[in-house]
Amino acid sequence: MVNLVTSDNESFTVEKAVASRSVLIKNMLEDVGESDQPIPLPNVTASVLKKVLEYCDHHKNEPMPTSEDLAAEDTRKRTTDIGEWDQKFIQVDQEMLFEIILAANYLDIKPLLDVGCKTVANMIKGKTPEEIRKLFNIVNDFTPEEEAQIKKENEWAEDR
Amino acid sequence: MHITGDRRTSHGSNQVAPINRLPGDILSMIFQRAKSDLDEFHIALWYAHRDVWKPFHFLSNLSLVCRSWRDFVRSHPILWAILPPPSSTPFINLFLERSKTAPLAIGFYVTIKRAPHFPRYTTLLLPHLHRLNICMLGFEKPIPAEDAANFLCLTPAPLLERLELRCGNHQRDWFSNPERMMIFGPLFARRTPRLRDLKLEEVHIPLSASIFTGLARLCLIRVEYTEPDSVHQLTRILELLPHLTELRLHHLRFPIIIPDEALSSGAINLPHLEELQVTFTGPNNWALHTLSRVAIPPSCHLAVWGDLTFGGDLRELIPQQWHDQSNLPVLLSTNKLEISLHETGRHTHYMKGHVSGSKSDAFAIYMDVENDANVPRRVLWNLGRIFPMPSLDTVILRVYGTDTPGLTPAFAKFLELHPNIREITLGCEAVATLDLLLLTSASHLCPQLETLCLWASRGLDENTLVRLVESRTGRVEDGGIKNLRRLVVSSSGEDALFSETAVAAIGERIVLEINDN
Repeated sequence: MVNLVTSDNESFTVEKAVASRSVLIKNMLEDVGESDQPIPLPNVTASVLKKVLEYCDHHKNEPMPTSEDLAAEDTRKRTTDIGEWDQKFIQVDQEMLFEIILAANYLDIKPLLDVGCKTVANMIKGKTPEEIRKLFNIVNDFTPEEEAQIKKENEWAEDR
Repeated sequence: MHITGDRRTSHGSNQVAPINRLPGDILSMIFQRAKSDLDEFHIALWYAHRDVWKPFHFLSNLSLVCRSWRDFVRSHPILWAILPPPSSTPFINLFLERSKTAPLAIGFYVTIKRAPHFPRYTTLLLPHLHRLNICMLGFEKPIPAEDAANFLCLTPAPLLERLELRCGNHQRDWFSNPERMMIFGPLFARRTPRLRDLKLEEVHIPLSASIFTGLARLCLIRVEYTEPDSVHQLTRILELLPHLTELRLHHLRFPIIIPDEALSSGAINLPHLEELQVTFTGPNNWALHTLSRVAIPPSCHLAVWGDLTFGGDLRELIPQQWHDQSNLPVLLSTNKLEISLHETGRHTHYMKGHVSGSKSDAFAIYMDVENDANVPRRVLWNLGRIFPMPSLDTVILRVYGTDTPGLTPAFAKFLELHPNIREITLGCEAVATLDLLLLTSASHLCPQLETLCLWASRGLDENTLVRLVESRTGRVEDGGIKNLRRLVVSSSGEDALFSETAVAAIGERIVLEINDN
């Protein structure tokens, strides 16, 4: 078992196979060898780690993606398809979604990072700038001239 | 640019918007994911003229969200690497500049409307051909040769990996109007060292050109080769492409080969081939000289389309077997064959072979025939000899039409050559061949037969079935066992299929399943 300590000082004891879905933790375990020392995770809060561990537990028996797998996926131009379980798992509020993405990035869990990025990509697709702003609570900070300039670029895209 | 007080505040609040707390590399990943779907759609359907502007409007939409997104999008060259179709010069230049050094992709149809702008477009692109990675161009009708040649022939494309050129609108009568074909000399100054994927449709490039070297996927569609040695050149190309994974040759025409003409011989091994597709049009003895030398691995899917309208038979469509069958090893493991034949009208007959454990078919042969009642006989008579499948244990035969002379003896010939058959399904008029199993001794025809399935559109003669079951069950003279264990009858007729007496007589000996559809 592995003991993980979050930024808000909460401890999680999990199976090694679950914790090792994180390449960061896996490398740390390999570096320190067998030890009862808790592993501090200063960039992850308890609520986020709980969610991340739920993902890791569900996928613990799957083979770890190799760098070749990831490269091959890149060349195939990954689509935004997400598996059924992952889709349900990632149905969280925006704040938690971005926290999961940040945690997956920090803990180096590529498949989870991928699920998070695809989810946000799906939220963006097909939306107007105004809809995107509203969705992510972004303020339009363009001057009218700047906005006109970008719209003008778009007008160049006429089929001729 | 001066930022006013309000705008500065907005800019500041955008910095703390949850999504903008994501690091740049993650935001980039998200934008690429969102755009890649559109790009894939665009690339996949580039020939369909649809939604070509969608990926470009998407970029514009992202840029219009806020300043930080605009700056972010503009500073990521990969987002600008798929170029739009011919449009205004500033728009094309925008993509060329913002894509910086990223490998470029183009994919669009040069419609009659766009054709006048094509020379200007290609002039803008020419200085960037050294980073062209994907090039897919369709021409609604041939454009002036010099316009195409200026772009496609003179400048090297060292990063080009995928090239598709197509012309015309895929009509069946293409060979009656061959002037639609576009003819090019050697492409990209003979410098395409990374090209792996080549598709040419109604576009003629001499088969001696260097563009055919190093490929993993080759697709040639509706091309008429007039050079006398073009068949030799095609053979030579295949000999030099041992890493091919896909080979598609559809509706090609070559000069007729005189039978005693000296041709090179020997095997062309394509051990990595996953898909081999061929469509024959008109005189096609080139296949005998080329395809019959090709050896493909067991996992390769084979699909052949051909026309038997003018009396041809299967030997004109199917690659010739080597004595040891090592060129088509899939036949050794094919255990199930599905045959569908028609008697009248213009139909596509087909045969599909399956290998146990695989969801899709291992091979498919499609045969176009018009109003030829003899086709079922011609196909079945030759099939067992020219396409032997020693492991075949299941055969499904469907015949549509009532006048199919010679069907029964031809099917008997086929069954004789496949003694391991355990299951036979006869559909529609093929049920008429049932007498075969009654008249021929079980030790001579299908001695292993365990299951017989009948799909009948009209009533079956129950007496025949009872006698058939009797003849296929119990002990044979030499002490062996007759194997029939199961009879499945499906009918769309409204009347009861069998009397109670017949059901009892059959049910005493084997399992009888009756399905009323």
